[in-house]
Amino acid sequence: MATIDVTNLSRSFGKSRVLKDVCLRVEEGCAYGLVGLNGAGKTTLIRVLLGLIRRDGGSVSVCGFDPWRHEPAFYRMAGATLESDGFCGNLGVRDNLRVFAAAKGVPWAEAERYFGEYWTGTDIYESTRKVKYLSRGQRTQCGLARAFLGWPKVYFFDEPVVSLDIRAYGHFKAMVMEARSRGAAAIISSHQLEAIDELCDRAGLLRDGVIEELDRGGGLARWLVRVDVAGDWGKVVADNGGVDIAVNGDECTFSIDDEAGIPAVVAALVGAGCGVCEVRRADAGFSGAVKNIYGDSVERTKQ
Amino acid sequence: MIGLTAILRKEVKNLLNSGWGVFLINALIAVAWSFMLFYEYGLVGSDFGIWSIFFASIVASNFSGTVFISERVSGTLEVLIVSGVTRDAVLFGKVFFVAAATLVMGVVCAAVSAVWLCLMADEGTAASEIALWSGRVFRGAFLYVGAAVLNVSASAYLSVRMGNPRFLNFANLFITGAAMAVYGLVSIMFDRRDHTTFVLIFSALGALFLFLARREFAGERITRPVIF
Repeated sequence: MATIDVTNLSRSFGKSRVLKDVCLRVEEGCAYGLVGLNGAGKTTLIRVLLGLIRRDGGSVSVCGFDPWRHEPAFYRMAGATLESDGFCGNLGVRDNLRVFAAAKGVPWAEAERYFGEYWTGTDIYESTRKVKYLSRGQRTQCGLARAFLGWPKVYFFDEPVVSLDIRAYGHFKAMVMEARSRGAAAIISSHQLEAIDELCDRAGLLRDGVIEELDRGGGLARWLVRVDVAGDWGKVVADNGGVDIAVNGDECTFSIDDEAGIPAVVAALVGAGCGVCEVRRADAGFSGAVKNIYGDSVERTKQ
Repeated sequence: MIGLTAILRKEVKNLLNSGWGVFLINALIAVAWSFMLFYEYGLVGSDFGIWSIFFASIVASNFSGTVFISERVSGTLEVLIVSGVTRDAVLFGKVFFVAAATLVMGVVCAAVSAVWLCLMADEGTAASEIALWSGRVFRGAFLYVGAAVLNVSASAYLSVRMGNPRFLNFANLFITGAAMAVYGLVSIMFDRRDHTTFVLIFSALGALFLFLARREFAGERITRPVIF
């Protein structure tokens, strides 16, 4: 059974039909990226899935629960960050976490162990200041610490990375991977398309009230290897099933399809006397797919 | 009711961690109104009725502003809800906290008033005056609680129902005026020194507002962003 199962979901605000026939299935261990223009309905969809607003039609099942029934057992299985960080400004990070641990039914000893194990070394771990004196990014980190508290089975992140610095983002990424390895499903809504590329294995574009599944790159993960042409690169490429793409001055670029073969290729290139300048994914990713869809309108706006 | 103690603990800690200005203002309110309580005792036929209604409304509104409005505006409520606290726990936790805080303020105010009485009463009649005063304050306390319950419940309902919850303080002033008008009108028909009728009326209205507030808290308006 899918962790999140949505069929023909619809929701209107007045005459504006924000969600028309949204269908979505997110399996255990899957992170689903939700992208779309401003006002497309991403936050509305997340709020429906959390039972904060009701749906007009269709069916929604999250961890087997109908969110609008507001069952406490459902919320104990869910972690979320919303537009508001939701903290009590007069309390410190730990006091706030204590409140939410009690709400989730997580014993404080367990919550403290989790906080120490997973958040040591972050900005918020040592902080003794009241939350209202923390920066926006630090409050976002607090929200993430709260969301992962108790390792829920399903996560909803509404624009979680916009105020995170590079270190905090790395930490968030590691936490998402940890949650996925524990079998949790996640929906991550963001305008940071590169983050969607990195964090999610599936993504959908919410447009005109429906979700269009995005293709990361034809399902083909290709890797580009750029080397200098001083060594015998041609033989290495041929031996490892690579495809020559271009020779540009004293550098050449070729692609290989097998990600697992990358270390062997790099070792062979170095052994053949070549300098490896760069190895990177060659597919366009979800960000490329979105840019393809909206590229024309962006160009028109620029003009 | 899952999360009720978490809500109460949060509200109490939030109050205790407030700046000293909050405590100073509350102390000034208690001291200033204790003079009125003491003064009204000296009036012929005084029963602390108007004082109880007005002071309960002022104090309850003061706490409601923080507990209901600011959380609604900042969007804290929806985060509490998705964290596993039941909507009933959010509502009743907050109502209970504001009612309890209002009651504590009333007790402090009455205690300070008692000090004025002890200091100013004649030595010979002090004991009898304090006994008389205590009896009136005790009767007035029920009216005070009734008015506080009415105000808190109405605040809980209106904080969700009103499009702009920052106008809640004005609504509270209206409710206070209405409660005092009810007190005045009903006094024509009943002996106003017997507070039972008023306590029943205020409690019934409070229960009605609480019922309406519970319906609002179960709906989606409570999670709707407040944009000015």
